[in-house]
Amino acid sequence: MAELVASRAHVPKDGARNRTSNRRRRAIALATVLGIVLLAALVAGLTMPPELYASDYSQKQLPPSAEHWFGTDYLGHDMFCFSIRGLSLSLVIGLFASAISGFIALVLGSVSAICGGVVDKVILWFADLFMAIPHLVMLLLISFAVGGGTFGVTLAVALTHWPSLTRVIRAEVLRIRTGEYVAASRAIGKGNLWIAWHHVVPNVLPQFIVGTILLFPHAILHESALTFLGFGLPLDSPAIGAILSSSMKYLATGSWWLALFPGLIMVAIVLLAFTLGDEIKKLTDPHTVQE
Amino acid sequence: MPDSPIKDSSEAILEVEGLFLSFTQYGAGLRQRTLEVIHDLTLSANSGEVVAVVGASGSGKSLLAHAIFGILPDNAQVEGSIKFKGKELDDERRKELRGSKMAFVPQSVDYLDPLMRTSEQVRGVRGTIEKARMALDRFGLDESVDRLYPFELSGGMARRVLVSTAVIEDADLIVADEPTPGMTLDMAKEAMKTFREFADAGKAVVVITHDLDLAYETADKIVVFYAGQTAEIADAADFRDGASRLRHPYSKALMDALPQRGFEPIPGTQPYADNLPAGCLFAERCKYRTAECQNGHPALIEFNGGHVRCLRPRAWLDEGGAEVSGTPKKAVPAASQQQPLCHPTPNGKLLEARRVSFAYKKGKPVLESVDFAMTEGEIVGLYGPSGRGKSTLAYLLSGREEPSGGEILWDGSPLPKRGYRPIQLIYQHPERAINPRWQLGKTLEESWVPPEELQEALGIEEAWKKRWPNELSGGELQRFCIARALNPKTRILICDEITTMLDVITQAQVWNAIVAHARDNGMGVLAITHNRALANRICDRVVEI
Repeated sequence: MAELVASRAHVPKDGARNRTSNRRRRAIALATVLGIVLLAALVAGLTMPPELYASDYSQKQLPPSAEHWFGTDYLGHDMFCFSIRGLSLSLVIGLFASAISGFIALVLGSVSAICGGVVDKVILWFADLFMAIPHLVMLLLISFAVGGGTFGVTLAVALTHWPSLTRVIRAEVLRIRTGEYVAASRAIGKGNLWIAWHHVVPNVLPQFIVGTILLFPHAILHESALTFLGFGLPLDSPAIGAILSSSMKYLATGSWWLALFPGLIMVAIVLLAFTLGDEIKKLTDPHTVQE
Repeated sequence: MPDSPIKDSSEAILEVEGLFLSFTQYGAGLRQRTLEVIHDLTLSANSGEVVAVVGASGSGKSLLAHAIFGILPDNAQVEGSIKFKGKELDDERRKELRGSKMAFVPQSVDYLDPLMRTSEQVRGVRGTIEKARMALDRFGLDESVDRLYPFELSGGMARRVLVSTAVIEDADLIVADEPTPGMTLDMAKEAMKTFREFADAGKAVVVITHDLDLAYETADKIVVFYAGQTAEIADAADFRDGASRLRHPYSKALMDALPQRGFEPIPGTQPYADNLPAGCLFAERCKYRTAECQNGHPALIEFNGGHVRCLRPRAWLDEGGAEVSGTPKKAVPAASQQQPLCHPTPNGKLLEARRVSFAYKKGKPVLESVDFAMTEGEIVGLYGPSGRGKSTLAYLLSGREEPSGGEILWDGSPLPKRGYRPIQLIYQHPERAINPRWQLGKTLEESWVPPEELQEALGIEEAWKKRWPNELSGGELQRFCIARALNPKTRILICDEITTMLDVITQAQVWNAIVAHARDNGMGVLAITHNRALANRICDRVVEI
């Protein structure tokens, strides 16, 4: 009977098999680290004692050193503390702006998909309009119209970033709504609210969360751009856009550190936020969840 | 099949030996596991040969095809040897051969480019418009489809376009993954004839299918897969002769489950990759198992002129396996061929379609002035080629869509708009009809809690209710869709090709359960199907559209 028995059993072999590394674990670890870094920058900036970034005229225009990592500016601000403080302001504005944007997108996207007809057309027309006009122009107009400042910037950024996410959510809700499991649920006698809560919400939620997180870095960048151009936060406030704007004057005199380090730290934070959004997307998207 | 002269000087085009395939997957939380879904798989195809690969869904048929063409997802690992014309296939060679010497017909019509018109699609990179036209002609698609996009084609037409994309290539090997669902028998035979002609011209053709009767009628060689292993390799002639010349109990079970034969399913389901039995993979469901079967791993051995993976191939045949079992095929009432759509029986409530028409916005009408009627307690088959509006009629009758003309009446009044609809519809693709973010138990509870006996009859296992939809096969999901719709408030059940994507054993299982439930509860069933034998088997009358 021996020849009838397979030499290779079909039990899973261990060890030798080249396993792919545990990507889910890596993604979660990365997302956690990124989240902590962002949170740390936020908390550090907001709770920073004012004397750390106050001006000190005895320490003007110093290049980077062990004492002043990012150097100091013409008013004697320590640029490292100044940048962190500025960053936290950007993060707060970014958080509020992307949350408001996400909320607008959720409401408009769902309403558009559910009502259809004229409502759908009007909402899509507005979305197209907002996408067609360059962001910066819209930002300037809105911020200027409401009088600038933190409120103006937040509102301007929130009101310009919803169209793409609105389209995503609209498409997703439409797909779910016309899906066969919703048709089956309706045939069983479930009402619209029940279906919305049990079928639509759980299926659209991951898209919404990821979309909102990915709006966040956009919001920060646009806030800085607006401030840089002088239409956002006041130029004497410790905002990255304001720092970069005033550093322009001193670049010619050789104070390169004034632009370089705050710029780099800004880019780093934006990249972190993008990576965070991407990792979370990979974890929740059914197409990539097993990779 | 008549032996073609090429067969004598045939060379092996495709040889798969000792193939193992596993997936790295994530379980609950962060746990990672390796699922071995193909184990020690063997298969070969020579020039001039049509090889049919049959087996249940989840037996690894499609994965084999994807492994041959190197289009598996990133989390798959392959071991073993795949040779093309005697030389090992590596990634570089695959890239060179794909689309020129090796052609692939993928399983889903979603593989068609949604933004390409039919003739472009079929022409591909190397072909000409004339050749594309010829390929389409073979499948009865006239020039009117040339300028259509995939979304404008019916399911069956899209399937034929998909098959056409592969047949114009100048290939030595054609692998077709489920090319025939959605086609009528004539169309499927035509497709198989095309493959036959390619084989006769010296190519090797591998057809992956769950349509066993089509396979043994048109192929040269049958390879039976079970749970990721080759269970049997046999001449198609052995299957044509009936169960007596088969070598593996699973092959016999497949034969016995055919609607034109016994229509008798064996109990149980194919084991999962994460829960494989210790011994022979089929032992759990095998009528002829012994203690030895539950411990030993059978190898693929030569037996009776074929190959079989069984520890006791002789013994089980002697123990009655060779007998042709099952009730004989039910006689087809000749009159049923010409039944009018309207033919109510006297008792029970009546579901009626009166001169209904339907057209999508700005589109050509799908249905025009159709009359149809059936009553509770009646099992009616609706049979006809693709593109005739069978699914649309099902939508209208179940109340999912409103007719653009005419009316649908249930017991003399229009269908209720709110509450539980007495007319329930089950769809062809269960994975679309189940919320992917619900555990399956919740899907059942959404409608009702079916009694134990019904769940058992449908073969629903208790453990499945805690699983997520992407963890179960189509056949298993379909059972949940059926159980959900068998709520006692359902008076007529419309089944739109519900077993087209399932293997014959599952098909027999679910249909036996549905028919028994319908008879016990006086429920009506409208079975929409391309499968004439199935319709004849289960229906009181069959109408053609």
